[in-house]
Amino acid sequence: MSLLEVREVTIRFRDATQGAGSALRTAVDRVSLTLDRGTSLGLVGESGSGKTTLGKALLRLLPIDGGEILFEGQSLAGLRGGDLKRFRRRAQMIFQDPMGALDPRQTVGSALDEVLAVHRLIPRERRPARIAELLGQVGLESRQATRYPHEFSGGQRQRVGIARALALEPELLIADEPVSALDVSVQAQILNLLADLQAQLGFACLFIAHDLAVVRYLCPRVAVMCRGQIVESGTTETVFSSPQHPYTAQLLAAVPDVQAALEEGRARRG
Amino acid sequence: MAESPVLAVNNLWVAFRTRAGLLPAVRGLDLEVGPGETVALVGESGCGKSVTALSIMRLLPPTAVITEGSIRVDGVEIRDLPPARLREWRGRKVAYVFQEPGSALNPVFRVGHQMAESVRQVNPGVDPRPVIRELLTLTGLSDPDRVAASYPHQLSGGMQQRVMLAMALAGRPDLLIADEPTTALDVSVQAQILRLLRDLQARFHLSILLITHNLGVVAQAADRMVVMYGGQMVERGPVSAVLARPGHPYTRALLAAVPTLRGQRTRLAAIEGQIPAADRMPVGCAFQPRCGQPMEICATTLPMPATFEEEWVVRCHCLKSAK
Repeated sequence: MSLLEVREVTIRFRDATQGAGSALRTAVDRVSLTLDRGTSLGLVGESGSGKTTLGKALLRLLPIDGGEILFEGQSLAGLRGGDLKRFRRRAQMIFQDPMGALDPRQTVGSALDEVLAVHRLIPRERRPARIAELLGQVGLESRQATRYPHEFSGGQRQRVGIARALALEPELLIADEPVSALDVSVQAQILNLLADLQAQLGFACLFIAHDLAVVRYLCPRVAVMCRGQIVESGTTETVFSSPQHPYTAQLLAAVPDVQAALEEGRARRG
Repeated sequence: MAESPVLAVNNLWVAFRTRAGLLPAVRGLDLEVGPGETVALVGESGCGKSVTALSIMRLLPPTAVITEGSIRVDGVEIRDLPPARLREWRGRKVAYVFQEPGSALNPVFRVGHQMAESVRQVNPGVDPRPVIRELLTLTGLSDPDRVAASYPHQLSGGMQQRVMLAMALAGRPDLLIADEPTTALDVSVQAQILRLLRDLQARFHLSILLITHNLGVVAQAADRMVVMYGGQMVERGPVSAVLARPGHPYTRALLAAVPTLRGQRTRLAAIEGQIPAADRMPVGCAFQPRCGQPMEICATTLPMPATFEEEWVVRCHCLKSAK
């Protein structure tokens, strides 16, 4: 059984600029995909293609209008009370903008402590040790637990975001553009960290990104989204080397790639 | 460069006034952009590239001061320009395109209204409407009247950036400074905007200073590149040469850190550590604490820019030891 199975999911929104009586817009259109334990799937597409909406729905942060989302064979729609809370522990998310996802008035240690406390995973006296361990896992020092988010650099804040998501030892991690706001050198640090942690902890990862090269680096499989639909999916190598859908081909051709430019002599006179 | 440069920055030092004293953000930068040429200014957050651009526009925040050096555009020293002349100089000589067109445009005025301001600034007394229509058409907007009648939020990011370019072209500037012009855009729109920049450049013989952190964009859009680190130039040369055989360890590290769509999927070579803070700048080479092959001299002595090959300059002690 797959960890996550998405069957024909549809999500519609009312266009807020057009008023309450306006027609519904389909943001996610009969999307199906599966994600096995411990694997990574890249979800790529341009702004407005529906990737983030789908990601939120997979964590039951948004209602769906059609289809079904199964987590270990169980429909998310039916989860209530304790079952829903257990699901929330097992599926976590990291966000594009770590500053926006952290409370500016809460120390990093306290943010991690809160997660552990809410889910009552470990007794209070053992939490400081666990917090230190988590910070260590993401390459921070345990003494940094007393610091506030603004005292960290962008890359360090994303490390905190990862620590918080992993605090509950989730089986599913949804990473929504986790490196697109970071500088190149820091981006590489975070991508390597995610790859290492996944190998070590074995969570499955849905990696939402618009950067195709980043997805190629991290995900053996990829699904391409366009206007709410998945237009192509498969192993990343196959999809990227011989795209079948014109949209995928167009996306790939548009990426300004250093290697491609050098090989094709597209780099300009110099 | 045979012709005299449109932009010539010499030994530019810019510092910020802080409680801890003056902290330098740009430290002795040399930069030239020739007629009709695109030069990419490359580096990560905090390397001083945007401060350099704002210095050229004389748009630095009040806390920043140019402490030394000269900035000449078409031979005119812009540090000496009186405020009265600055207004006419901006737009006609140099124009600026910002990273986020959505926040650079005023949300409460229609595009046409905002453009009319730029147009009147450079052509007083002329009916701005035909000029606006022409400018919007130039930037590839097929229905200029509809765009002019729209509010910014009614346009896509790509269309907004085209509007910004149209406004920048109103005064027929010689130099266009484009600060991360495609960073906020989707890849296919990014490709369109880069193509448009190239077309406009050919048509108007524009000189472009392209500020970006994206080496893919550099490879596609620029003739020469200047890599900055810690407020200094660390490497400068023709794009195709520098990207194929980077001379400075930082340029090499940047290239290795970028995932690519071609070739083997290997572990990314992350650059460990962080960029140095302005108040804790290393004594020697700014990159030395993060460098893969530091030598003893690197920690104590700042390397000077040295010619690597023709038109190709690298600031690294490794150059001397290799020779």
